[in-house]
Amino acid sequence: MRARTALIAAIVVIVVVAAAAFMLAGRGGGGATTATTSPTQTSPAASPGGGQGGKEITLNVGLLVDTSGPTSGVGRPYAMGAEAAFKYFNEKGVYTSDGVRVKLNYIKRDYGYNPTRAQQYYKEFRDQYHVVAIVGWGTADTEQLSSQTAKDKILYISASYSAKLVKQPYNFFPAPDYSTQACAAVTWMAGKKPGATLVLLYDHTVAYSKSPIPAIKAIAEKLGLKVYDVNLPLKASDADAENAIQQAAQYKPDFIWCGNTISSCSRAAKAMAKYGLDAVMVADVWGFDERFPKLTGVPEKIAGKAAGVSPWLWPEGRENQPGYRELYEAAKMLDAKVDLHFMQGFMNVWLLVKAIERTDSKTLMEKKGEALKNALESSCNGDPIKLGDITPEMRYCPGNHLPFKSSYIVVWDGKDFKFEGPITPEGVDCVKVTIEAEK
Amino acid sequence: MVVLTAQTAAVNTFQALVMGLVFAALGLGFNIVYRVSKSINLAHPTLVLLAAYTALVVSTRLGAGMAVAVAAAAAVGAAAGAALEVLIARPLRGRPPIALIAATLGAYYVFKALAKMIAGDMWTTASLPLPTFTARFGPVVVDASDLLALGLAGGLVAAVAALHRYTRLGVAMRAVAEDPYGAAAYGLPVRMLTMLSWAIAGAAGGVAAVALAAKTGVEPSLEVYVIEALAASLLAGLDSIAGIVLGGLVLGLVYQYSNFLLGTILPGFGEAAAFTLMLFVLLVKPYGIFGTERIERV
Amino acid sequence: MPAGVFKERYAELMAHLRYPIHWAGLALGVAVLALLPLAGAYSVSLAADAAVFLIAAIGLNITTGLAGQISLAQGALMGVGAYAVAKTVEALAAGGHSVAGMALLLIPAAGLAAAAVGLLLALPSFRLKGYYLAMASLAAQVLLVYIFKTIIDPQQGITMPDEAKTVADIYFGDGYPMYYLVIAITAVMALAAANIGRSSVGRAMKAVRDNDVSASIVGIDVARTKALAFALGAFYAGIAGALYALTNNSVAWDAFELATSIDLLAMVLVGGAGRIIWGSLLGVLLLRVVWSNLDAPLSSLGFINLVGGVDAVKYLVFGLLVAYFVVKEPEGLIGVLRRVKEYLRLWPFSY
Repeated sequence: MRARTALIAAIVVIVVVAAAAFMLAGRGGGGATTATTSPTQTSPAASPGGGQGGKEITLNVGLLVDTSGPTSGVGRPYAMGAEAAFKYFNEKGVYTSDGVRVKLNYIKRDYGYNPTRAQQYYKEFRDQYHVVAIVGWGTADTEQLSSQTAKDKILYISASYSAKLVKQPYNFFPAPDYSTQACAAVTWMAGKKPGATLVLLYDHTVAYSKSPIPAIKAIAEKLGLKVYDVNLPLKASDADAENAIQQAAQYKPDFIWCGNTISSCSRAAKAMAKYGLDAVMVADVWGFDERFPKLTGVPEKIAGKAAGVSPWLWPEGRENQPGYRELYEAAKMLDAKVDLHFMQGFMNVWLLVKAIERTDSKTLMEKKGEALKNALESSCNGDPIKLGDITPEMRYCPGNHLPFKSSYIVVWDGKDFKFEGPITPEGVDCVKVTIEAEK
Repeated sequence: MVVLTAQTAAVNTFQALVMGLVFAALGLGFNIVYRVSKSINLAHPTLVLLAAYTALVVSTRLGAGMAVAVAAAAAVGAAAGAALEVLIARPLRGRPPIALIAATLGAYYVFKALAKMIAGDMWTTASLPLPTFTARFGPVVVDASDLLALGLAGGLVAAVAALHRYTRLGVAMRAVAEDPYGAAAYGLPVRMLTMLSWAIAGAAGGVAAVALAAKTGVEPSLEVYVIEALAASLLAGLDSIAGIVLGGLVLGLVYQYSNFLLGTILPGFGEAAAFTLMLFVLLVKPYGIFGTERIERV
Repeated sequence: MPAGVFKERYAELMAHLRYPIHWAGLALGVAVLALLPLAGAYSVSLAADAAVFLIAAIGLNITTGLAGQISLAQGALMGVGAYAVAKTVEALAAGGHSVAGMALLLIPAAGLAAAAVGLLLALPSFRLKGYYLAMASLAAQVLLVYIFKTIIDPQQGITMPDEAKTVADIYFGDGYPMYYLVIAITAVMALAAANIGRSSVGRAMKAVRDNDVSASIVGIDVARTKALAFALGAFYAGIAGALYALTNNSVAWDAFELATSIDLLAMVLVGGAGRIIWGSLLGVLLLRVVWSNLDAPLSSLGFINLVGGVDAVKYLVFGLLVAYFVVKEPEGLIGVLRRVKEYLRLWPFSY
């Protein structure tokens, strides 16, 4: 028998054995992180350990991020922020309300922004690691999983602030939803120029870009703004962006809403500068961050004409404020750079820590994800939750997980980012409009 | 409702021209390979991706000028093309075309992996460092990215067409494409020329990659444009070189105007239009406008 | 004792289970599949996922491996099946009708819907072959996903209510009932495919694959055979799609994009084109089961720190595997195993 045949035959045998092993052991991956800390096979979710004197609970938490896919540019700092937070809080100590120390053991999976892979990893989290909570990422995958997490009673904290998730029992995030944020932006525009014309640039085929549009139209009508739609692909080339700006220019807009992510929105801003379209662009929370001016390639030309919505003040220059201080300390542990998306990852884990701190060890052991959910919802009528100075007081109510409604408008003035607000949209229930529009 | 005015028509037609030439340049690689190996090189899209990230890394991280970046992209493309010929196309000579399609599909993933490795943490959307100059011609605004794309794509197609038509090397390559056995009988180094064709196709992909990146930025999904450019190749006929300019321009116009006029009603139709055009060409005139029909014998 | 196994009737020779080792293998296989749930809930999810892709790969192996018609649209055809179920359930629920058990009842209809679309895809194959046909299927794949995106599923995700997956109070969307159902359907589909390969239709397909001009000269209706190959492959894809809709919480078009079609084609080529069952099975085991679970072990081995990360390493190995098999082992993994079998049969003699 030729050596090559023997070699490949050996590979075949290994593959079959490995496949059988994966299936039989049910080990979707015996990552080193879990093997040491979590006796998953014997005790689901929470295992009292420790030994002499002090009790300790280990909780498995899923961390579902995109560090390789199309949103990895913002997904990497987000994942880094979440990991830094896990490290920081584990070292500092997380205690339940009755003083039992909780160790957070996170299992990180990169799903490449592919919701199908997210569903697979979800099954791994649930069936293999028996997680009590998941810190997740995108809109499509979080929405697709939301009914399942409710069924399985797993707390799900996402970086997607989709309005649909506000009504889901197990989904949480420390921000107003996309629609409420967009409504704040429209309120800001109406305040700047009453009766203005607004063009909405967004990808008409992507759920994330489309979701706030009905709410924007509803509040714009109420505030007396004229609104027009133009399609801008999420994956836009300069030619696509110029095409969209040519269409937008026909309506002579005063303001432009960009509902895509940063690469698409920065190209649109670049095209605006190229054709001299005199309007102010306001982009959504994922469409505008510290890199925006540089990405357009013409930072001085877009001064005063590029802005974004942000529910929080950005971390730059706020090292000494409560909340931001913890953020910077955590970043130091991983030697990471702090930016908006790093902060978003950090905040989501912090919200989970808050949930643990508001529950007692007995309830946590018995009810797991449900206990965490109830703990967060206890803020509805009890003490509000606050992540330092980063967020205002947050209250999550059963059936309505909208923690607060105000957002800032961040304007690029050519040298610096200026924060205006916070602005709270009034007169229209932007969450309700969004959910009804999707029915 | 969007209306077409003289002004917007001028702007859109110019952009369609730029994108059309870029599509033609991207499609060129398919045609050169098809002529000598009678099959589609499915690795071409990620070969372009690899070259684009090479140009990005050379121009930003190493801080070299755009000319160096183009040269680096072309060199990487040529090396990749030659490697494909030696490792895949040559051993598969005489096997059914499905084999070459499948094997280049494997190479598609290899190039994607290499692109990711070269990119490192730049594996995301990034722009080539271009000067920020603009010039106005009536309603049409031309900036550095337009000029670079036009110059590279137009120059590339012209250069490859001239090479095939006027140089001794080009004549020899045409001979190999027409009749490899006859060419061998006349003492032409067929293997060498075939490899050279693949290398030229790769280099063309490299140059086209920079032209494309000037207009689209460098991003992981860049390969989609190359797959769309296949429509330009098919429209022209896979064994035609000069005809591809027409194929590219038709694709550019269809793309630009369907997005401009129908964008809000049929979002993203530009991309779908490219593939509809492709399907239409395949069903009605499978060998393209300038292509030669194949006659089969048992 | 006779030196070998001798069959006395044609029926014995044609049986699927010809030798004692076949019976032993069958018993072992059934035992493993029946007892797999004991290994835990995640094993069940993995196995069901593998089974869904096995059905789709078997279908593609009929179209591409048996009949030689290269198709890059198998993923989109799975989508047709999945949406046929999900949209019908959604429409019924919106109309106030009962949807109890519909996700299961509609599985055959999903296969037929996909087969109908598959027949449309066969149209280009009457005029085109090889690379041109591959391009036509590529265009069809992209256009189908475009239709999913803009018309069928603009919200990117349809979730069926639980009662659609419930029959007689048993929930088939998850856990052991789902597993046994999927495995049973897969077994039936695989057996049917094995028989197609041995029928006159299957032999006609092989003739068309090897040379369609010669096939038409010996009286085979080439157009009909090609159409049948596409329709059958699509039918399998449709069934796989319907099972995907059953076993996953929601159906969204991102699961059926070009990458899925390419993955399926790679499974067939690496496993063994033309060896419908075992080739497809090996391809799925390698490229679906082992492959999609390599991330964690590779990360813990430190590959995540390599340039490009785990993904790049996986792409690289995946691509090299496919290219290697096409160039050096055109019969796929299963071809290698056959050589090993021949070797062992004669061992210790070399011939």
